[in-house]
Amino acid sequence: MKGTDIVIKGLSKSYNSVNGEDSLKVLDEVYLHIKQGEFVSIVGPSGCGKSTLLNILAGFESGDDGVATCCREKIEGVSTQRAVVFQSPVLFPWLSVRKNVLFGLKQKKMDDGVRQKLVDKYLDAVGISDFEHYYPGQLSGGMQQRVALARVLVLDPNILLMDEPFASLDAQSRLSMQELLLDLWNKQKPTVIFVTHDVEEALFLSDKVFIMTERPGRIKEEIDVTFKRPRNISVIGTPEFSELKKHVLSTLMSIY
Amino acid sequence: MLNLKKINLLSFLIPVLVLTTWYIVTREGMVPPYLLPSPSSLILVSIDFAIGTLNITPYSGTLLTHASASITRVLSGFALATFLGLTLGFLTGRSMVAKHTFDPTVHLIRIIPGIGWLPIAIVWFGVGETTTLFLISLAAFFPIYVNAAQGASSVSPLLIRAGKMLGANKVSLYTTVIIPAAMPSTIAGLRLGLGVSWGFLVLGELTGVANGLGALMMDARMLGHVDIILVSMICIGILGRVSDILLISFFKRSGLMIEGGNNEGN
Repeated sequence: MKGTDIVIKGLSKSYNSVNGEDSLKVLDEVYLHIKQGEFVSIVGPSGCGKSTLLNILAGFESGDDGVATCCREKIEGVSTQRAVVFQSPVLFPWLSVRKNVLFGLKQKKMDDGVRQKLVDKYLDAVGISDFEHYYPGQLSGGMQQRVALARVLVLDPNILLMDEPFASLDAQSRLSMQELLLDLWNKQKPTVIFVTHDVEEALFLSDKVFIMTERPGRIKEEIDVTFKRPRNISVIGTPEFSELKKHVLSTLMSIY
Repeated sequence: MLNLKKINLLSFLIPVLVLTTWYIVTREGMVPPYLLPSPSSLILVSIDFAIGTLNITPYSGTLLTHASASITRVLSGFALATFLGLTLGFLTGRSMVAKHTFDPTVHLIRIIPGIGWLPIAIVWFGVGETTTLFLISLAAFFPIYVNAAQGASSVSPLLIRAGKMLGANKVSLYTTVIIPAAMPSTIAGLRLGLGVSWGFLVLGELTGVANGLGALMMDARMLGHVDIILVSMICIGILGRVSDILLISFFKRSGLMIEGGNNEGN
């Protein structure tokens, strides 16, 4: 087990209703082990607690029982080492694209020349250099997600937590974002935890897919995805891919 | 620049009607000059008031003295209100402890009309400068405070999460996320506060200060110079509007005011 592995043991989480009488259990004894540098996806029915799990890993929320550890330390509070790409881009609308990417670096003490060079590099890496002086509101959803990706990758995080980041994009932008993500992951090798309800997306991207049950969510099955990397879109057409997709879908169907 | 296509002729209808009526009733002697001077004599008085070459009123050439006294008072009072209003507003907007400590008392005091503070202000601070400053800052404080607090409390939780996740600490979260995101509402509050400042300036100055446009109006009334009263009113109107334009352009220039709002969170 390496130092930056993510280990979750017996993690449970409930939410109290407004009047405090009923409680809704969303996570029920979740066990997970994610190796450093792995690309894993979590799929499951809506409301199964995928996002809650991700929020706990990000440090936005905390579990009731069990532990979530990263780097052998219990996750408590947020850290720039655990970067998040949200379902919506959540950019700072009053900052230009460039300044959005600069935001995280500005929070650190470092030479401004180094900062600017890093920003240039990542603006280029996600293909938005030409739009650096635009405001987020002037860009399409796909472009905004590129900025969201650049502003966390520029901090070189160990872990990238992604909560259905491409769900609201059209088919073409989604595909190009998936390829871009694989490309960037390959260069930087952060651990990626990718929440999605799109089985094809999960299989195309990941080394491992975790299937969750309906609420209260637990891990129902763990599937190794062994397609050769680097992958491109043609892998989706192969019989092996279809077979695996059928398997995941039937597992998901049996949950309902 | 001025966009001629955007100007609708209808906008001129009422001003033209008013001016024409004014011109006719004063020229035909339907209204005596001591109640309403004619437009042309008012223009002459204005010019004389501003540059002082005609010497047609005792106030010839005193515009700069009075206007600068008033502007100084408004700016001091507004600055004090802005400082207190923004500090307290941003604090109560984000902290329940601060909210419970300050908010109920502030709203209790807010119910008392600003004018209602005049007698006690005179008792406490005497007639003049300090009373005027007190009235302006008191009145301008409330809209600034309420809107800053409202803006700060309604910042999208996702933006806060994004800021934290990108490494913002408690202080920089305020300066780099919460305050910029709260800007649209805050700017609305500042504009209201600045408008109110001019109102309470006049109230304060009416009570008796040596110079200033409000004092001038009162003085002119006693000397029967209705033209100077009207000119002072016009001056206050213009100064109020200009200060509002300057406030907006300041925020536009600073990059804190952008089209489409700051707090979308998506």
